[in-house]
Amino acid sequence: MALLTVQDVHTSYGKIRALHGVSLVVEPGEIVCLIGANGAGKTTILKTICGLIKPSQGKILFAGEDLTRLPPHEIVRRGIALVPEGRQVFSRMTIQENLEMGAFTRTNRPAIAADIEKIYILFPRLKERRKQLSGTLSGGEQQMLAIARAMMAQPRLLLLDEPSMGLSPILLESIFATILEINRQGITVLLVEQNTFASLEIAHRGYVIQTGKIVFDDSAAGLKDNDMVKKTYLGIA
Amino acid sequence: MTLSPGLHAFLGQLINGLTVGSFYALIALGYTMVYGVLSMVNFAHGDIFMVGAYCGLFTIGRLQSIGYLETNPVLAIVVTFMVGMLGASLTGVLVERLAYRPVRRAGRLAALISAIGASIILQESVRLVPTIFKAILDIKIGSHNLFPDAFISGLLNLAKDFGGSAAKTYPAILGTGGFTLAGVFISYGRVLIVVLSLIIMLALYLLVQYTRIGRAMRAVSEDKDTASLMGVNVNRTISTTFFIGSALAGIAGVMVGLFYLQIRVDMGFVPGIKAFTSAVLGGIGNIPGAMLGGYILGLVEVLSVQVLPAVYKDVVAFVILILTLIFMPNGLLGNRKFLKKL
Ligand SMILES: Nc1ncnc2c1ncn2[C@@H]1O[C@H](COP(=O)(O)OP(=O)(O)OP(=O)(O)O)[C@@H](O)[C@H]1O
Ligand SMILES: [Mg+2]
Repeated sequence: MALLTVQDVHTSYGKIRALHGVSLVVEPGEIVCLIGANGAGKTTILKTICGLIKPSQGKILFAGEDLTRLPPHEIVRRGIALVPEGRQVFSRMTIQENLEMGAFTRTNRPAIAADIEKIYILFPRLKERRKQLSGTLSGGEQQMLAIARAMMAQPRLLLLDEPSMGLSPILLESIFATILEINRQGITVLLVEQNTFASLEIAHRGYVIQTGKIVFDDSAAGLKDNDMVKKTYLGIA
Repeated sequence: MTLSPGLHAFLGQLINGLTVGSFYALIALGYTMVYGVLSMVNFAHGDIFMVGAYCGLFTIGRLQSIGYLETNPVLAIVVTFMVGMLGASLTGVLVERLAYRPVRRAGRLAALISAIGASIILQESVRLVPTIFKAILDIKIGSHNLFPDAFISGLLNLAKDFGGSAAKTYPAILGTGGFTLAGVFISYGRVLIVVLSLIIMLALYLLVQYTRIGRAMRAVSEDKDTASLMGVNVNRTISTTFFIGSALAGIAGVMVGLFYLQIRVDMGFVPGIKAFTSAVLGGIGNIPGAMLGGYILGLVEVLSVQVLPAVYKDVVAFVILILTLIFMPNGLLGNRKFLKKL
């Protein structure tokens, strides 16, 4: 059974229609990437999946359960975590507090503390700055923190919205390595990226979205060979 | 030890300023907490403070009439605080639910108008309680009263403390006792108010900094969407914020009743604006700032009486409000981020 099924979802912002019948499937254990130009609706899909915006039509199923009418704080309890576009760490909280916020749905304190220690092994820079306000972190460090915070919810499905935005090539590599590592631990990933090349390197499959509609999908290798993808998203003539 | 008359008067005013400052600080916390989570000024907050005072008076009046206030004054006062607190809290939660939540996405002006409406409705509701009771009791079937006489007089007696246009009076339970420190008389009532306020504020600070609900409140005040992605129930957290902020106002209402004895349905207006000034002075949205602002305003106000005619006392607060907004809109401890939202 698919882990996530998005069925003919339509979403609007007031009168502005952003999604016109999006359908996609994510199987357990996959990394699936979502490719599209600015304004195509990538962020809207992720927000609709995690309940921040309600679709006017269509259904979202997670492990067979219908999430469509649930509020975001219930959806995260079901096992979906989002790393939002532009990071959105709590800048007036310390790094440690941000990680604890990530574990807000959990109650087992020793397990949470142990997970935070694991995070600090994965991201030693965060450990050095654990008592520092997150607003003082660099962009790359904030992105690490946003991913780490999402991991603290112990999600089965991790949604990432442009995790490499504004990062140097070296940091970009380490973010993608981190995503691969997270996936190896058994967490399914739905990845939105402007950096099509890098995301097709780590993804199993991908969907291409144009003005609120999925136009096609294929394996990562298939997408890399596709003429339209090459021209539009990889910049290869 | 003898002090010069000037210093003596100064110390007396200092104690006075701490007492008044405690009221301002307790009420200011409600403004600042609500501003934190909703970025709006709850202009009904002064009236929630008033409801707390009336709920307290109602309780202490009943406890007095059954003689309990005499036999066990400490417990009676504790119960009075609890009821005043709870009455204010439930009022605050109700105001948010009915007046603010429906217009939360409708912009600042809608929220402001709704807040002013809530303020008027609260005052008039409390004012009309005895009238409404009388109207219900006067229902007649033919020439007979619908309700038996004993029931009528009992209910009227119950309602008489609650509301009405005239000022109502708390029993003078705090008394005039006290002690003398360095030649300055300090009443037990003032000690109770200042110490209790400081304990409550410390408890609030610890709650906000170190508990799960406190962390949820801070997350909601920073970013509602991201907080909900963490699993925080945003609406419930906002209700909790109103509950706690209103509880503090309710405690202040009971304190004011016990200390000044007289309460009125419009008693929330001036302390409300002064507490708002305190919150702005400390940096609206900032909890330690509201406490600091409250005490500073209380002290400045009583000290101003030393140099200015007493009629200018209220003017001082407004001058501080205006100067703060012009020259230091972030307040003393405020966060720069809040300014952009104003
Ligand atoms: N809050 C909003 N109010 C109104 N329209 C919006 C809002 N957010 C997005 N839109 C519109 O919805 C469409 C899809 O936006 P979305 O943010 O999902 O695009 P995106 O694919 O994530 O783009 P980008 O790559 O720039 O992040 C766009 O046309 C956008 O203008
Ligand atoms: Mg986007």
